[in-house]
Amino acid sequence: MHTDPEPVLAPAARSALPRGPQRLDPRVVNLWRLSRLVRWVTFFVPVVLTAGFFGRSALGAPLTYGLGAGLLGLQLVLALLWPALEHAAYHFEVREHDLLVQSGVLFRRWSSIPLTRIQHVDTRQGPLERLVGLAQLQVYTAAGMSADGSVPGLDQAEAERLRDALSRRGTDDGV
Amino acid sequence: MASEAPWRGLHPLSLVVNLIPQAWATARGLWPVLFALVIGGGAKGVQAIDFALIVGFFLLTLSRTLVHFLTLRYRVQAGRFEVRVGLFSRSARVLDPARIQNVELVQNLFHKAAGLVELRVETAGDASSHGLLSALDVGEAERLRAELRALVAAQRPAAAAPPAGDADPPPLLELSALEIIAYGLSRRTVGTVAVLTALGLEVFGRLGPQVAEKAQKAMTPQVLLPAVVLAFAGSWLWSAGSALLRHWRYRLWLSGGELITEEGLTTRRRAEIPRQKLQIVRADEPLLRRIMGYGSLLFETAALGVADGRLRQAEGVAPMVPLARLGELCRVALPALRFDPWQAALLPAHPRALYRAVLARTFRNLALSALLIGLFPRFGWASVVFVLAAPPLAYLDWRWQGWRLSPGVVLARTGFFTRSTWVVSRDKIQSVAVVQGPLMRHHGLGRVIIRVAGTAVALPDVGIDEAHRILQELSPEGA
Repeated sequence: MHTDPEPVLAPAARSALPRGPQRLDPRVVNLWRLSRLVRWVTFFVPVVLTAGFFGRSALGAPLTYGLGAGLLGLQLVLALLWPALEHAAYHFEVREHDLLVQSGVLFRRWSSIPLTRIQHVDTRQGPLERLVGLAQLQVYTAAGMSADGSVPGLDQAEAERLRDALSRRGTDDGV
Repeated sequence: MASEAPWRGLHPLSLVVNLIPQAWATARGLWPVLFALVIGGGAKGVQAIDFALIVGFFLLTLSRTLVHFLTLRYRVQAGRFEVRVGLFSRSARVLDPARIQNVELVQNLFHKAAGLVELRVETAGDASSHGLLSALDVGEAERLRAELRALVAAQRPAAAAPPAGDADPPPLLELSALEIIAYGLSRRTVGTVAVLTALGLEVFGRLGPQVAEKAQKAMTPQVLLPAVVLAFAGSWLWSAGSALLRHWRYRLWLSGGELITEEGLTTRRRAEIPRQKLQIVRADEPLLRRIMGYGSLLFETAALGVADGRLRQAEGVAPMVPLARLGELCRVALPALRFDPWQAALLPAHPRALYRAVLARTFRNLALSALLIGLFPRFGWASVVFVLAAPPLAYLDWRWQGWRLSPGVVLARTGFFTRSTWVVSRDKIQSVAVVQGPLMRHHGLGRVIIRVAGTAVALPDVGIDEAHRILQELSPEGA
């Protein structure tokens, strides 16, 4: 991979960034719980109720109600517990020449994105994120249409600082 | 102050040459209406509507062709290539020569008859130049191409200038008609046969219950076997014919730092690929082609792989390369490759990756077998042999996997029956990731995924520590 002998980030930008592996803002755990609960109410509950209504005659009422309640209960427990596990698994680090992102509970992923390859950086805020003052950083390279690196659950000011520091610096983008 | 370069336009004969492509583009845009036209009918008054739709379709096609001719203007101004087009919806594009991935000259039958050519300028992740400079005089296209090449060379001093004069250097590879037919025959055809089978079943299903019952009764082994043989033979013939159309009089040569391919019977296509823009060279060696003593090479840049409305595999293809020359041509295309991938020892996949491969293939074949049993209850049971064959096939695939890192490239090889070798230029890597699912974690495995513009290459599964070491080595921190 192409390497710049000089540090890619300007000293001022570098000093504004945290050093070492960073964790996400703890507020994101409750944010993720809330969004999973919204999905539970608006998607899983109607789907299970509909399936139960039509499947009752085939499986019998007790089995249908038991299965439905079990599925909904499992989803609810996952909605409450999983975000904490996701938060624990998520780390990112802005190093001298790359952005390292680690994520995933069941399916783990470690990504290294060279700073020289970054095409542009976005910060995004959904309605819930705006409510709690968090933002998501999305890093794009020439590799594809979707973001190569995504760091959710950052304090808004922190996300903007990272975005400004990581935005493309006009070096070789490797295409 | 520098004078403004004049805007130039398409050749007037583009009004004729562009009619069919514009009709096709219009048809693609209006497909629901045309579909309704084809399947509709029967009621009174429909004929008038059909007529109006057909007239509307042709008027739209004509007006699109006319607007394209009247509004498309291009020029090279202040070291940049500018194109503008459109009447109601106008677009103007200014292209920095440094972003040009490759330039193509395409000539179909109509172009040939009119003495015209289409010039395509491809940039990373963008295929929207297709159909823009759709009909230029050959001399004008050559002049514009030379102008663009000069701009690129001025911006990239590392790029060797093309040699003076018009004579092309001796080709690195030329293919005979027989070799092209052999290429067509060795392409995968099972998919085509499957589609034909599915279509046949659909037609039988629509013929009514009595006919379907008769057809089912007639499906004895004596009928099915010749039908399958016929389907494969037809598919092979089709494949050989399309290969001849696409690769007729194929030539590959190197000129001034650019790989150039020229090919095609009805549509002559010339692709010029600057070597410093190449990010991946892929060698495909399907079993049949390997037995013939050949493999194929695909040259990929960051340009979006779309041509003629279809996803294209690569900017340049060498369809039939003798096995002994694969390494040599790879090294010509990617000078950073300092060893012969077919002579050098590669590192193997992790031994425990074999378990995963066996499981994955067994489940896949089980699903296929279940489908076949469901479709053909009388003979489908024979497909159980696929399930039994899964473990040895998975072993063969696993056995031939390999990878290697060198200062200039990353190399990955997979597969026994459809063997592919990827050579990725390290200069072009956009990002690197290690992924690990729950089963991989159980076996202590990890997979390294290397992303370049527009595509990704996965190395064979390795131990998770090894995967992290590779990630570190490929990241700029570790280089």
